[in-house]
Amino acid sequence: MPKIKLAALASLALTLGAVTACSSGGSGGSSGGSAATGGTITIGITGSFTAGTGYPSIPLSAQARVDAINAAGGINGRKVKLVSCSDNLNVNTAIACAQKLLQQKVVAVVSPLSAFGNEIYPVFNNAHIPIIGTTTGTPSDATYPVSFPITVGALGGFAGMPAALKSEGATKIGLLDEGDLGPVTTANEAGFAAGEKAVGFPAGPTIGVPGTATDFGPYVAKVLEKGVNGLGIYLNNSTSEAQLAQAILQQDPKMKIVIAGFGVNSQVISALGATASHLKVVLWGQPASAMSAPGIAMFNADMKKYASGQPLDDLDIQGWASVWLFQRVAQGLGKNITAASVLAAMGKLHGMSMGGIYPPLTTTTTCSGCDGATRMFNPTIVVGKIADGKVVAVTGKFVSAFSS
Amino acid sequence: MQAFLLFLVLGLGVGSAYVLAGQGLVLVYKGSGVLNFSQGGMAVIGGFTCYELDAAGVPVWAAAAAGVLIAALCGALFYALVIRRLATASNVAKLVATLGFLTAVEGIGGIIYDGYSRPAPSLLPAGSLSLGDGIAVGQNRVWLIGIAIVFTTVLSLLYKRTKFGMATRASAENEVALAALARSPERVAAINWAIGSALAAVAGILLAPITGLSVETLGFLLYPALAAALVGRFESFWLTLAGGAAMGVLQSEAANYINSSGWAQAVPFIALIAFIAVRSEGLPGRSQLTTTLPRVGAARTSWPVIVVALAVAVYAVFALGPSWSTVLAATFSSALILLSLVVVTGIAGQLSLAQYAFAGTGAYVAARLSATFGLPFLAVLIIAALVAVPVGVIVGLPAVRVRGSNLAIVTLVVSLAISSALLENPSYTGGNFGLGVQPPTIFGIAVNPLLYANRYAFVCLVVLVLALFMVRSVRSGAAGRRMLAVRANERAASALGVSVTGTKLYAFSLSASIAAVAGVLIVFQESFAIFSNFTADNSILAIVFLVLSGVGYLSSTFVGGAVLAGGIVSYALSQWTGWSDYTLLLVAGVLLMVSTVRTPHGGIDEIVGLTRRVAPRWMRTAGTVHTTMTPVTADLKPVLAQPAALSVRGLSVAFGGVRALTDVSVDVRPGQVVGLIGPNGAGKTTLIDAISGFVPRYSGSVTLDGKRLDGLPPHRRSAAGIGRSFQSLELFEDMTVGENLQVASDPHGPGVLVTNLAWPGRSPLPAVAAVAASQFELAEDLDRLPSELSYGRRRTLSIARAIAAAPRCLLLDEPAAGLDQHERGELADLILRIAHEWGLAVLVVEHDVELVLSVSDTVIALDFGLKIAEGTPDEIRRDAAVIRSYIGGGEPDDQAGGAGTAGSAGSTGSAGSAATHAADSGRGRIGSAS
Repeated sequence: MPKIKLAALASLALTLGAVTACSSGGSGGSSGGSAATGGTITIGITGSFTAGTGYPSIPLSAQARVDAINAAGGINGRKVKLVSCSDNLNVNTAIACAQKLLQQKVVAVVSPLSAFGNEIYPVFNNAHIPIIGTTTGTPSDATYPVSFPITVGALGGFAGMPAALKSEGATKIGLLDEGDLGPVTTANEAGFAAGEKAVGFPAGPTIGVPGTATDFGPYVAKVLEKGVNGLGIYLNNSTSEAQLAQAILQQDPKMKIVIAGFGVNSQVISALGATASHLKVVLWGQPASAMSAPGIAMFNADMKKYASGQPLDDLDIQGWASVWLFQRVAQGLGKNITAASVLAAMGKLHGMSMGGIYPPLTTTTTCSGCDGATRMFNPTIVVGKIADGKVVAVTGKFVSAFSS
Repeated sequence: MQAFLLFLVLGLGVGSAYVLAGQGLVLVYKGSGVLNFSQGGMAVIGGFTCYELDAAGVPVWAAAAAGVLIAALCGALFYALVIRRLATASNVAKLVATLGFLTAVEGIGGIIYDGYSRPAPSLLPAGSLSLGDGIAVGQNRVWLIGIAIVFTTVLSLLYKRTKFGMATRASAENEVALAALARSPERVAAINWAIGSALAAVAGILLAPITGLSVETLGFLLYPALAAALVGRFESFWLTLAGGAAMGVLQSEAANYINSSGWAQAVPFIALIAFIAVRSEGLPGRSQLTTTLPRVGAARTSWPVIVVALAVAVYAVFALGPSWSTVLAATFSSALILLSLVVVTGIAGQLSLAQYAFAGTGAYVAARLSATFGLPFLAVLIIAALVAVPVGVIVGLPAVRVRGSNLAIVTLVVSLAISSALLENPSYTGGNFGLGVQPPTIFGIAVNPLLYANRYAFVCLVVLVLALFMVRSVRSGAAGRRMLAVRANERAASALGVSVTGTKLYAFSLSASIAAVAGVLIVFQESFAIFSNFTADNSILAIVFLVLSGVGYLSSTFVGGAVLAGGIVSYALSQWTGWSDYTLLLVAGVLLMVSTVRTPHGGIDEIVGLTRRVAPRWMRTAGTVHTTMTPVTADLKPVLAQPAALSVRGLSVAFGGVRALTDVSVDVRPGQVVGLIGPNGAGKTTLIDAISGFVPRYSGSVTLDGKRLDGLPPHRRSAAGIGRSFQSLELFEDMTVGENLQVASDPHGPGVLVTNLAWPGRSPLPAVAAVAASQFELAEDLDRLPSELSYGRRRTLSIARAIAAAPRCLLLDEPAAGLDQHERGELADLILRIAHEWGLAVLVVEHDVELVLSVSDTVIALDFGLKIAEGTPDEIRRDAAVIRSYIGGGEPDDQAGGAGTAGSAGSTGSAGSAATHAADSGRGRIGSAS
């Protein structure tokens, strides 16, 4: 039950704006990404970037890398342009955004964070546009042949929670996650179940929490009734996770809690307050604090120079790293940088360095043990914690989210 | 049991914050009669002030105190600068002004804090508190419970025991009386606004550490706080405490026992609806609630204007390109929702905050039928409109018992329940993923909005225009007059044969149908039907924009639709100004407050007023109701219904322990005048109320020509032939004299409710109304408002209106009150004509004993509910019991100057008037010889 809020005056207008872009271009079609052989190289980014229910910093981190590329002379002498389209967590807007990117003739889509992968991936797939750095929030993210996730993503993030809880000594675990996100909720819970299976836990209770609940206390009480001593938690609005964690610790101060790392930025850490020290964080790769990783150092430098003051979390790193990967792949294509050539090149990566942020990337083999996520090229997580107001890695080791 | 207790404590904790915010609403309502929708905004101000000061290093208690004080100051200032200036505005305008404040606060909050939640400083211990057996809760929740109880106790004592509290209570009853006691109602109201706002801030500051500090979550406090205050009838602090606590506990327990989050969230609202439904009595209305109604247009826009407007709209749809076509489609759809609101709120006067729930329900039905069964667009459009009818009836049922602002809350609660259980429940709607719908086609022509935006916009325009003509027809016909009559005065409407319940439910169901069609048009504009926009918030915004435009005008729907989200104005603003959404909110909020102060009846009303001044001749034909009369005969008798004999047998009425009437029997034959006299409190009006059905519970019987009327509601008795006037006139003040007469003589069956959808019916006054207008010399005043008539003429109108209903028996309740000598003489002649020329049975209740004695064939005297005498006027004059009851004590012969008589038999308005005046003020002399 939201109150008078943006949705009332703005979301309809924004939705219509996006639809307008769609309707003015007719059916979209397959013209996207095939003609960029000269001039500016256009890449796109789409997803839920609205504050509160989305992650507005992702396009900023991607843009930071784009700015750095252009400042250094572009890719093979050509400037790069990033087109961003926020779907406002609305399926129709998401489809309109996908069509808009096609109209802009993007040669690749980078780090999309969309709950509507099942709806928009077919659009990109039909146009043969590669998607670099997918978030695996939906089954399509990790199965479409144009999809190239560079992280374990949301699916793996949930799959990694049981392992993290086990390492903390939990013996009976459960999940408290946002229950009204439809297929995303289903995928998240499936990931958690896969992780439970991987580390030998029986299937624990899963309680769906309404994202708009005033008080999380009753939902916490409901899962604690099941006798769990370890909980994975997730809410789409990351800052609300702080209230959820606090509600848990009020009812059971000894509870082991693991949260998904994406969205855990400085604001969330601030909101967590003293609760932060009780949590473990499932990270997709090395955190922004891991300056010993060359990629992280580059990321921090770019963000400092081009996106100063922006949050630095898993998603931001992935957004930046996706553009960085695209940059290096495109550089190998000479002047012929098209969607088709990028797609082909992306499918042939073998041991591509990810700057220590993630393990080296190989896209020529699929993952058979990743709960159906066949294109999970990097099934690893890093377990982190919060210390001194920052997310830090506990050991820095990459561990599989899908096996013990 | 253990789990139940745990969830109980958890719920009580959060419910306590609802209590505090709810108490604030009660105070504001008590102090100023305003339903304060800005209460959530006050919580935001308090919460974020505390947050900022705490971050700046101020001790948390001092930061909290500052937050409370600043919120209090904001409340007082808002009252002084906005609400006070709306003293004579309609209550809905005041409500909208508070929404303006809330919107502005949200805009500012959004600009500063974006959509993120902040860590709120906690005044209360946040640690764990063991409840035994291994269960624990946060200490802050237990503290909250205690604080709510303490605040409630203090408030209760403050408002019962102190002069300020008594002044507030007095203000709630009668501001004028308070002013007469040298207490400033404005000052009392301002202080209550300050305290009420401070309470909201307290609630926000204490709740934020639990919910997170964000503009959205604190703004959310409004809904449960409203529910709590509603339980407390906006009056009782302790009942508000119970209401808030119950909301919290129900939320908590529902979360435990119900796995579907949508239903779990809906449960408290459903419980509240049930509570209201079974509550044994209607909610109290504050005196101000019925003061001012929004003005209603005549729905008589001239054809040239209509044609030009249509031409412009069609041109825009096809000439401006697909982008604008899409925006226009949204504009037309929004306008349709606003049109539905014009029906139920503008014309019928039922303040509904459920329009988007109606729209969403229709949209859901249509989308589900399309997605699951592949039904074509036109079919699902019609089905949705039909399905919405019973939904409208269900939502409208509370309107039978609840009125004004309270009805707004009830419809809001219903809207929240529908949203939670259905529209925001992803199990049914697919959540953000929606339901895939078939691309719309009509008669084989593709109107898919993604491919043919202009075609779809044209479809939306056609639907809107059809609906406008339908509502125009309803407004101009008997159905519209019924709604306006109910809106203006339910008692008078039912006395004229109008079914108040039926009319309200008709308005709700028609409104729901129109809104449902709009909902279908909205969701079919996309590939996936998404229901997240069919929220209570948008229902509130709809009323906001409609009030700004003019809630009683059909043309307002275009203006409001253009401004509403997705409409051409909001689209153009977002495209051209580059303002963020939060900036738009801030601007909208400020404009709302300014607009309601400057144009409380809306922009269209201002234009109409201006046009009326500039071009009065044009407005006479185009913008106002014009009643025509065909030539009539001088005789009313041929057009009246067959007169009937009224028989009352052994009628007794008791109110609680007080017996108002005891075993009273009265007979009135056709052509006879029976006068009913008695001092104040004798039971005269109670007898008329019982006969006409306004006092439904009595023993004994009432028959008309032998047909028993007992158990029938007033409108059924009216239909049977009982006509009555009221002591306080009870005219329909915002309807013309012609409409007042017409609504009385309109057919009252259900047929016109259907036929008026397409055709308003004949416009000239029906014969009986026309003859009444002619005989009562009102023919020249048909197009005037009652307020433009002299008091005597108004009273004449009230009787003419009763006659226009073609009664078989007429009850006149103090028809001479307030009339001068000359007018009383005319009235006496009139009564005699009604009975002796036209043949009606007439029962006259009147303090003017001389008048009664002069016109009556039989006079009955009542005292303390007992019939003490009955006879001819001469017999009554000499009746000892009558004289004793008027004078007290002595026998007739003891009366000096009276020669033992109770009034003279002289002409009406002579010496008897002195007796009248004495009797008017209670017990006194029955009369004096001239």
